[in-house]
Amino acid sequence: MIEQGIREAILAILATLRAELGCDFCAIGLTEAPLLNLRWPVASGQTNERYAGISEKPGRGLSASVLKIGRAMPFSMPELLYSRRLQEYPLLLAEDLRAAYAVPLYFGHSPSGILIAGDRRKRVYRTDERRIVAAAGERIAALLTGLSSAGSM
Amino acid sequence: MTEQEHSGFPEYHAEMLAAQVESLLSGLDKGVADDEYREELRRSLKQLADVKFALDESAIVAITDRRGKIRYVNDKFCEISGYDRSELIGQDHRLVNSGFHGKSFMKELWTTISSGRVWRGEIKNRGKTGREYWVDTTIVPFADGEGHPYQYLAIRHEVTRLKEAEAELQSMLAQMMQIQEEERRRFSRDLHDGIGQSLFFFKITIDRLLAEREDEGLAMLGQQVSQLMSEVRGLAWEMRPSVLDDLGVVPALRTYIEHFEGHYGIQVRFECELKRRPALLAETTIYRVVQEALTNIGKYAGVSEAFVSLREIDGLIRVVIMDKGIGFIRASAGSGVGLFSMEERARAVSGELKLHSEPGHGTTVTLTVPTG
Repeated sequence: MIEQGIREAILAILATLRAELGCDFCAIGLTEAPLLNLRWPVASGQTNERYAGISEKPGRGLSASVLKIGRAMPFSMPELLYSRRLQEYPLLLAEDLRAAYAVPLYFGHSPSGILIAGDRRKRVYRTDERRIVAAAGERIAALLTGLSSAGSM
Repeated sequence: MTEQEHSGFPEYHAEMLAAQVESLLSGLDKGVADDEYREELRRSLKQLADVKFALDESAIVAITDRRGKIRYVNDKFCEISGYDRSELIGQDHRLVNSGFHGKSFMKELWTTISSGRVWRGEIKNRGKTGREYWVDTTIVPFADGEGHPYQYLAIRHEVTRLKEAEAELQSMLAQMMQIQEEERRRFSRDLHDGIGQSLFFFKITIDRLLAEREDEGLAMLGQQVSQLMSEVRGLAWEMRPSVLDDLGVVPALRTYIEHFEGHYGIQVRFECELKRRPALLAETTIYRVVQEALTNIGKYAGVSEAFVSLREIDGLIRVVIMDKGIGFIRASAGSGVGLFSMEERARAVSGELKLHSEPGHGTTVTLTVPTG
């Protein structure tokens, strides 16, 4: 569980990020021990509460891409639909996101979380926009590093 | 004759289609004085004779009166049915009825043509020798001055081979799906019992070593092996859950729904009133159809709640998968491969699949299979 204070600080970062980027939705995903399922504890701009119930198994979707490779990646719904992988991205489905950009959150050396920004319309994220997401990701990772070293990761 | 009373005309030459054309043609010179008019008439009659010839050459033709008694058949009709013309005239089509079509089918046919509309469809008939054949049929009612049909012209083409090919294709599809299930079952078991077991022994060995001495690297390896084991188990389960064979469709669906809820963040209300296990093939069909329908809900419906129910009514199992989401129009629903495979699966176990969807009012998939 994330402490109330840290949760509020993260929510503030997500709200700022949405305003800066002009995007519809932001959320952070964290892997949970022992099975490393990916869950979404904090979100901003959601249209429903489905995100909170999602628990993605490792080896698929964002776990197998952003987390495994440890790099930021853009996603688009038509591309996922075409490659028949859309069902591996339940968060995009729950929020009906047509485009998204996800950066890994590093706690120490290994990526254990994700910051995702998405839009309900077609969008290509420019380099400067990608940098804004990456910077927000670093701030969130710094906030959560205390949590990670406390042993809940 | 009742037809005459009914129509008010002295006689219709229905017994032979365009039978009097020849005699009319030869009597034209005497009967019609006006040269130009006679020539027009000759040409029209000639055309009628030619059209009749073409029709007889290409199709199976029959004419019945308004009560269904056969008044005319061409050679092709006699040939395919195996009856002589004399055996057919005066009879009705029950003579060639194969008994394949139900009462409601025949009722619909008669309602259509007796109200003056054209009927089209495929009919299975039986010939004199017992040979069954399929005919693609068009029945055209001929109406009198008041719009009441006084006779029906039926034009048929044999489509037996087409129907046979259709049936073969369907049986191939059913077989293909069964082979796919068998392969999945085998592959799932191999993953679970083969690689899964090896990983388990691997993990035990690591744990034993760890019990002897502490080693951070070894502990990390142990964690990774555990992770790998759970991934292999997950793969085997997704391929085909062994619980489907061992404990049946209900426990398998409960586990599937639990995973589905976690993956998509959608709550599923599951109701089950089955008292005993259905046949194995029916269980597989139910499982796969629910899986496919729920996946569609997860991907397209845009809801946070779905409903699944299993009920047994009069020897039939009725499975309903429902959502109150955005719905869709079937014609514009992508490639529709999912829908097609659900229908094929249902048909392969003599079941039926119905889909009802309306934009803005959600989707309901209803599968009915015999308990068998």
